[in-house]
Amino acid sequence: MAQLLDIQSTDWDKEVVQEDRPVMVEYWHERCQSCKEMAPIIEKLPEILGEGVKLARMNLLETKENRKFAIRGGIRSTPTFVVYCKGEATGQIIGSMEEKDFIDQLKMLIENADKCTPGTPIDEA
Amino acid sequence: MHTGYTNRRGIALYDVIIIGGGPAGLTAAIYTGRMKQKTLLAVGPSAGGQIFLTYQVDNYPGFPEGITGPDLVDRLVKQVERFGATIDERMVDSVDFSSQPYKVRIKDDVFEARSVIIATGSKNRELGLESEAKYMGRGVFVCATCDAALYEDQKVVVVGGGDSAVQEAVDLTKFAAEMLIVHRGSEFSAAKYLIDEANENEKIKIRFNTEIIEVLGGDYVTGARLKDTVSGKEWEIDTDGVLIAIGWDPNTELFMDQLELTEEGYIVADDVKTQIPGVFVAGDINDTVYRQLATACGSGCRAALEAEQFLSKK
Repeated sequence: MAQLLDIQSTDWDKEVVQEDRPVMVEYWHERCQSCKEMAPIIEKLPEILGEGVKLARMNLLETKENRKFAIRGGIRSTPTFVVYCKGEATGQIIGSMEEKDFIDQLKMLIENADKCTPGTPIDEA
Repeated sequence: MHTGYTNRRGIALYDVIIIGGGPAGLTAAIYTGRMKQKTLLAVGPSAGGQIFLTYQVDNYPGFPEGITGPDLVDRLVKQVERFGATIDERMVDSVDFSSQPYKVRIKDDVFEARSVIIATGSKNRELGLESEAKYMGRGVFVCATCDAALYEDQKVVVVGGGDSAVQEAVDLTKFAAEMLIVHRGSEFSAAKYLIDEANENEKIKIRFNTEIIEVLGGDYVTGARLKDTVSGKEWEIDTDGVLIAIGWDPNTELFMDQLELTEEGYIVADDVKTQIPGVFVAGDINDTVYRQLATACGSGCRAALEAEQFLSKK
């Protein structure tokens, strides 16, 4: 069963760079209202997207290293959802939006991450 | 689960529908629920309103150590639930106050109400610059609480001169390295204690008679173009972020064709009573003066008591 992984900046190499599949990372924190709005959708992602993509979240209030890491990566607002291939960003979505629009855009970003080993095709939700 | 009475057309009928889930709406729901009025509270996707966006609340009675905005919202929601109001986390799409019972539509569901309390609050005002829209979420931001952590050790320009601009600049210094508050006017309209806090804070610099005319950058904000409103002189500064805190506009779009609005977009009302019997307003949506947590709760309480009185006469 696909799952949503909570990661720290110190896990980056292991969880994102060394991963063959595309990885989506949500940069979020618990004081962010738009993150709260998106949370029910994010929790459904493992079921919707299956094993073809790795899903992870980084909480920016958890450690100073997480914040530094996000700032260096150009994150300026929460939530920001970035799709990575071997640690390289291939696309991002900023802010909250309607479930259908979000899933459509995210699927497109994952499919565009074509340098990654193709994973299981994403089912049409 | 909707628990209103169901009429013979199968439509749920409530004594009170409260639109908006900030402190005013939540307080109104505590009162109407406790008075055993069947209550629907339409909070939208997240309860709390502006107070959810506040790091630390130090001026609300009964919390001597202070409380965070999100913690206070959690407590208010629990208190609403204790008295039985139904909470709907969807946005209201339209209302019809042309005849009793009033109608409130949420997606495909229509709910009827004998009275309605409007507590939809207000939204951040924008500067209206093209570059502001372009860099929104890429260095331009409106919620210090939401995005402060992403400006750790960075430079930020805060635009505005009222309570929220000065308060948010002070809050941001927890993370940011350097703040510059630019204000069009020649003095702040913020409360004196906030101005004192800003003046005493070494990270904060202040420029009066200055406006921001363009946000600069590539993929992200790297600077801003400022203008001295007295001399007309323009110059550029380096900055990593621009926080817009120039005030609010009331969220009254939903009611434009149902209720008379003032030129500024506020609902014409006598305190909490609108011109339509049984339709009330509460909180920041109709407060041009105080805009405090305590005053929002107070007007939520008044609106609920007026609704109770209205319902008992019918």
